Amino acid sequence: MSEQTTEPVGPGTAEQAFQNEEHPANRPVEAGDPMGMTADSAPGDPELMLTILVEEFAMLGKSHDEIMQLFDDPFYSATAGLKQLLGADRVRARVNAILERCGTLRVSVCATEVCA
Amino acid sequence: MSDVFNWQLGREMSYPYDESHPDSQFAFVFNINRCIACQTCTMACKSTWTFSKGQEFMWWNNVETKPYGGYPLNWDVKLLGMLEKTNPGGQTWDTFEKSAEKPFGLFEGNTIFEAADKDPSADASRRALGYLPTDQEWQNPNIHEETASGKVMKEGEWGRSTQLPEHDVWFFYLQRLCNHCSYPACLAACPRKAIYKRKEDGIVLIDQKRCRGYRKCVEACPYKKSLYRPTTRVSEKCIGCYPRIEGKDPELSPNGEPLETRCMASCVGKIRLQGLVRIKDGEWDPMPDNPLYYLIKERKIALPLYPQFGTQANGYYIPPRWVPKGYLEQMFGPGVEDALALYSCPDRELLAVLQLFRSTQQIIEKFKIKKGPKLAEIERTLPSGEKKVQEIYNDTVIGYNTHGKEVVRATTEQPAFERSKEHLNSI
Repeated sequence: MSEQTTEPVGPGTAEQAFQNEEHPANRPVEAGDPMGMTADSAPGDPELMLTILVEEFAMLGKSHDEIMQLFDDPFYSATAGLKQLLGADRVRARVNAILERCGTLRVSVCATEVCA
Repeated sequence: MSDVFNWQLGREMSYPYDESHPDSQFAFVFNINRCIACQTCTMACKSTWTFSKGQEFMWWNNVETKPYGGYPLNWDVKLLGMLEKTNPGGQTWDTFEKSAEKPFGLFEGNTIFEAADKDPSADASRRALGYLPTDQEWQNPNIHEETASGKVMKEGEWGRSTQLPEHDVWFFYLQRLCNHCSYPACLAACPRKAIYKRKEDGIVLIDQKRCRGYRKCVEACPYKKSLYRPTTRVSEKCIGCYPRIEGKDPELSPNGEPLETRCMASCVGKIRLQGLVRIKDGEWDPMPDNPLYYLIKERKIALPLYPQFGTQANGYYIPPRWVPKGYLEQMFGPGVEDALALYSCPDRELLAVLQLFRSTQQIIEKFKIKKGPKLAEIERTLPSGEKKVQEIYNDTVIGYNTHGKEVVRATTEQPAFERSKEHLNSI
C-alpha cells in the first residue's frame, strides 16, 4: 500500500489561507452587475401607509378582527412588515383608532341571477 | 415613421406604422391601494397559461414591489435611465395647457420610438429604445424586494441606486400584465410582422407560426411583457384570456357573455376591474356609464403606467395614497395629484362605481346608480395627511353586461362602528 501524502491541517496551512480569503459574496457590487440587487430608495411614511391600508380595508367591509389577521399573517408582507416595524401594540392601537373614526363600510353585493 | 396621436401625451408622436385602431379596446383598472400581494392573480395566470416546460420564468401577470423591485430586475429604472441619456433633463411635462385633447398636459420629452430615432448609437433597424434583459434578470421575481436598504433620498434624486437588503417598511405593490397598448412597441419592432392587434378587442397577440424567436419584441417592449420561450424558440405573451373575452367558456358563459380574464376574476383584494371600451375615429367613444370610461376619462382617477414611454398603454392604476408625489408622477404622469385628491374622499357617484370592482366575473359594460338616503359622515385621510368628511349614501349601483342584461347590484349600507375594548361600556 502506498503511503498517502495529505497536507497537514492547522494554522498556517492552505486551508486556513482559504478561510482567510474574502468571501465572494462580500465583495463590493460594481455598477451594471445584473445580480447587484440594487434598488432606488425614496422617502416614505410607514405610519401614513398603515393608516391608509386600514382605511382601505375598512372601506372593503373588513371587520376589526379580519384586519388584524392581515397584520398577523407573515404571508401578507406589507401588513406583517408594518407590525414588525411599529410593534403589535402600536398597530392595534392605530387600527382601533382608525376604525372608531371611519367605521367599516358595509356593501351588500349580489349577482342578479342568484338574488332573483 | 408616421405621426400618430397619443392622448396620454397630449400630442402627435412618431410610430413606425400608420394610425389604426380596433373597434373596441381591452382595458383595465387596478386600485393599488388595496393590493396585499397575495399573488393569487399571478398563480391564476400561471396555472392557466404558463405551466409548461420552457415557461418556468414566464410570468404574464406579476406583482412586484416598488420602489425596490421589478420583474425583470429594475426594468423600469433601466429604461428611464436610457431615455434620460438620450434627452438629458428634457423628459418633462408642460401641465399648463390642459384640455380635452390633453387631459394631463403636454409631454415634451422623447418616447421610446422618438428616442430610438434620435439615438446615434442605435442600430438602424431598431424601432424603439429598449434592451434585452439578461437571464439573471428574469430569474428572480420578487427576490429581496421588501428588504432593501440604503440612504433615503430627497425628492429629485430618484435614479441613484441603493444596495439591498433591509429598509424601514414602506412600499407599494405594482400589478403588471401586458397593457395591450394602442401603439405596441413589440408589434413595431417585430421584423417578421408576427405580432398583430385584434380588430374586435385590441388584444395584442404573437402569431406563433410566424415568430422566429428574434426577440426584438422582448427588447422593444418597455414593460418587458413579451417573453422568450427557449423550448419552442419563439416568444410568447399575455393573450388577454381571449376565449373568456369572447364569451366562449361553455360553463361560465353559456349565452356567450364576455368574462373578465383569469387574473382579474381571481383577485381576492377586489382591486381589479376589466372590460372593453368602444373606439370611434381613433378615440374612446364617450360612454360615461361605462365603468372604465368613467374612471379613466371622466373622473381621471385611474392613470396609465409610464405614459412617457409612448405606447398608449391600456392598463390604468389608481395610485397609492401613501407614496410621495414626485415618485408617483414619474410613474403615472402629472395626473397624480388630482386623482389622489378625488380618490381619497370619493363623492357618492364615485363611491358607488368603486363597488363594482370584482363584484362579478362578467364584463360590466354599463352601470346605473339608484340613489338612496344619506347614511353617515366619515372622516377620511387625504394624501397630505389632512382630514376631510365623506358623505355615505344608501346608493345601489347596478351593473349590466355586454348583452345589456343586469348582472350585479351593490348597495352601500349603514357603516358599522366597533367600539374598542377600552370604551366598551363607557356611555
